[in-house]
Amino acid sequence: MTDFAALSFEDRRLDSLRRRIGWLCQALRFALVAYCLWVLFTIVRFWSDEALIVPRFASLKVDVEGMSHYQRLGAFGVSFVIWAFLVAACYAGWRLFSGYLEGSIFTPDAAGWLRSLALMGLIAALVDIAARPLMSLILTAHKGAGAHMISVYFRPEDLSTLMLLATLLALAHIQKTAADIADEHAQIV
Amino acid sequence: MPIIVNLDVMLAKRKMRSRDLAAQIGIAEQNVSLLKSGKVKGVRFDTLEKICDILQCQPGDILEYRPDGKTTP
Repeated sequence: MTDFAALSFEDRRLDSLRRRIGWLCQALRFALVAYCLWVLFTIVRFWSDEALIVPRFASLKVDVEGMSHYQRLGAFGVSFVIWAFLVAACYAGWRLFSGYLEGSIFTPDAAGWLRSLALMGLIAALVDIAARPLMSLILTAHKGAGAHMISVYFRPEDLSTLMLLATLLALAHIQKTAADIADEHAQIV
Repeated sequence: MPIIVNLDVMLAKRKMRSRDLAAQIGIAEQNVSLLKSGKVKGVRFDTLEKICDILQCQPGDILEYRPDGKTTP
């Protein structure tokens, strides 16, 4: 960045853009917080209730009946790690939309937060996919030799999530270049 | 950079402050300071036109081409 003030909302086009996306940014900021809390609530509720876990895994042809509290705690730990990546992604989203509201739109900072959002989201999605066999292994650890299950599955939603996040990552790189151009443009008085 | 901005010289000749020039042009005083110190990538024609109009001078009075390593004669 240079000494030049970044494009501010003194520019009428940016002012109009802020009016158009202001409410959306506010709504998304609160949605990000609500999403994190909601996911945490569903994780805690799911792993604390054996009656929910057994049928869910049975539908994946994994028999987890008779698992111990420690196994559930271990699986909860894996879910919690995924949730932590999700929180990191949501934090990046919060900073991104807060920046937009403050007028920091075509800036390297905004591009950086968009990149973090996409990267953290991608990591969360990939870890989630990779953790599925690990979870089934943890939950069937009490079974005898030969009865340990490794459940590997891939849902169509996984692909759409990964594609969406990869698109965001590409947009972040595009925005970084746009921010550099805007910065250079701001150096013409 | 071989392009030298002599705006400070013209301002001194016209006994005008940067703040007044900035106000009359309609740009930030910070940008006038950056222009004076030559820390800009370019000058818009309309900015140059306003500066010349206000300071009653030619673009050549404000901008000078001096190849690297050479000093003013």
